[in-house]
Amino acid sequence: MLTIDSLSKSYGKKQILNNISLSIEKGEIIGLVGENGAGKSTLIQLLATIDKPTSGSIILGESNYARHKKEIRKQIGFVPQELALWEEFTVKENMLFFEKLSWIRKSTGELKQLCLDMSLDKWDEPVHTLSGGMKRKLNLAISLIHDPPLLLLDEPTVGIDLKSRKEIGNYLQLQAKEHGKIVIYISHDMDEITSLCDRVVCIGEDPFYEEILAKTGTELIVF
Amino acid sequence: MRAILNTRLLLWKRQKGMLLFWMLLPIILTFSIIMLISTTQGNAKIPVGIVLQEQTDYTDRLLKELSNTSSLQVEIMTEEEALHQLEIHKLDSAFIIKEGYTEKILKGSRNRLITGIRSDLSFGYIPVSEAIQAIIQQDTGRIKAAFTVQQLSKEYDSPSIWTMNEIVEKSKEIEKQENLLQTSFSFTRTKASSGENKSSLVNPWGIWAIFSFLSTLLLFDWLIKEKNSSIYKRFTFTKYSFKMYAIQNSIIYLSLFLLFDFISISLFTIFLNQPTSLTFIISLVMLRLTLIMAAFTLALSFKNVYLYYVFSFTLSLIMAITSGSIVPLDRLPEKISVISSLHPLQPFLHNKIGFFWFILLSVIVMFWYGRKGKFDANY
Ligand SMILES: Nc1ncnc2c1ncn2[C@@H]1O[C@H](COP(=O)(O)OP(=O)(O)O)[C@@H](O)[C@H]1O
Ligand SMILES: [Mg+2]
Repeated sequence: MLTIDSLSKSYGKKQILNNISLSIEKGEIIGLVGENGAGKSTLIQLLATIDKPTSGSIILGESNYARHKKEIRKQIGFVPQELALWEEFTVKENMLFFEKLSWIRKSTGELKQLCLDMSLDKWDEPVHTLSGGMKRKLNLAISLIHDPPLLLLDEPTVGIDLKSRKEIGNYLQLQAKEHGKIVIYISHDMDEITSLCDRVVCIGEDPFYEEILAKTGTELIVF
Repeated sequence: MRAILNTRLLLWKRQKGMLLFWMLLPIILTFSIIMLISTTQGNAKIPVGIVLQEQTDYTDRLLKELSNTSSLQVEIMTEEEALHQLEIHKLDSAFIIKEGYTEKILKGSRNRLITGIRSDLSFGYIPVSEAIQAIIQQDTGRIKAAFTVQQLSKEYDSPSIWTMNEIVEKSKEIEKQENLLQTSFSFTRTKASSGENKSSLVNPWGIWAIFSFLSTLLLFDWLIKEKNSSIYKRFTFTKYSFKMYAIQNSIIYLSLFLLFDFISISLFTIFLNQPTSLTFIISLVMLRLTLIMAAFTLALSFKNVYLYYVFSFTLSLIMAITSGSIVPLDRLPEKISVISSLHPLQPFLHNKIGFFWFILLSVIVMFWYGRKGKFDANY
């Protein structure tokens, strides 16, 4: 379980996040929406230990972020907004490279299976020859090599084809429902959000998002 | 270490050619330059004029030694002639063996035996004057020994068996025997140790050091590329921090460089008759460690890799000019003592162990390692 308690973040005098409190259960998929510049990426970065809150606390399972940063990091699968992979490597080499750096050992077979699970079947092809959707899948697969229970994704499907988008969505759903992972997910695609997420968190009051989500009956929390 | 080595091998697989090229570059260029110099030197010897104000056995000996030096073309002439030829640059330098030379040698005095005159484009002045000094030193040494033997026999009141001349002759004889011995020992390796003085104008290790400096800097571009690449932020969620990754990779590069360094030592010993000693090997390892740390800290402080390449070439050029090993700037480093004491290649070129840059760079690296990183929330 992930517990966020009175979390605030400011950059200088500029307050970005104000007093956010939220509890997320295992197996839940949370969507993060809001205008550009609202603070979605900021919240994900706080949850990923990349940045530090101005006040408030975050607790994952039994561990407090402020005290057990190292332990927490092993449990986080962070998928950055931009592609973070070796373009000149093949899919296989990328997976092997990051497996070596990872906390846990996986066989080449297991790594290949991880890719196949999200329909990434171009195992021996150099990344720069792959489609945007394939690259996004690899970007996600690399972040999941160490089987993290908490997945943090910053716009993982931005600008890719519908099929890849669906495949990534199905994979995340499987991870949450079958393996009890917590998935926190930023997206601008309302179809994707409403079909995938159990609850939606909107950063900043926004009548536009509130109206759409009210129609589909998705639970909305506004900060 | 194994994990990081495996990641590096994946990267090296794509850069095999470049890696091998830059690793071999110092060796190949050193051999090429040495070969180039020895062929041009063979065709065009350095013309040196000798003016004799007196002629004895001792001056003959000096002349003979100089004529045996392969890089020199020695000619005897009058003083006016020498000055004229220097002016029109037909001579590189001239040496006047002054009247009283033999007398001073016999007295054991080594001052003002010879006057050296050089043109402003002089190339051979230093090696020739060094050779002359060595010969004079030998001669005065012998005379001194003879004198001491005589003195001793006087003191102990024993009848003098040998005259001064006999002792000098005897010592030459012994020397010859020793030379013969040396020759037979070193017969398989070098012809140069007997007879011919191969006073080389360039030090192969000097050339090697400068190109090694360049290749080490250039091969550390991985650090800039990987630090600035998109994969950098993944290191927050890996077993190894980027710092640990960078340090371990530097150690892997160090090992590879050392492998090629030992290949260089072997090749230079076999083909260029370069002497090797334990001090030399330690001095080379220290140079290598210093170069790695220099490349490491420089690469860390650069964002743009092309700017880093330009900087590396410029810095290597400055090193080459100030070290005096490629461009013979007439012992510039010795004249300007600051350069000589701070020049990172100088300790190695003089077969010493350099600590200054080694310690300074170690402190910088340790400071960097202890500092908090960018993607590291500071709770
Ligand atoms: N390191 C930072 N320093 C100062 N301001 C920042 C920093 N990071 C983000 N911001 C500001 O915080 C606000 C929220 O940014 P972000 O979380 O990226 O928004 P979103 O992801 O919702 O589009 C923006 O106005 C941005 O300019
Ligand atoms: Mg964002």
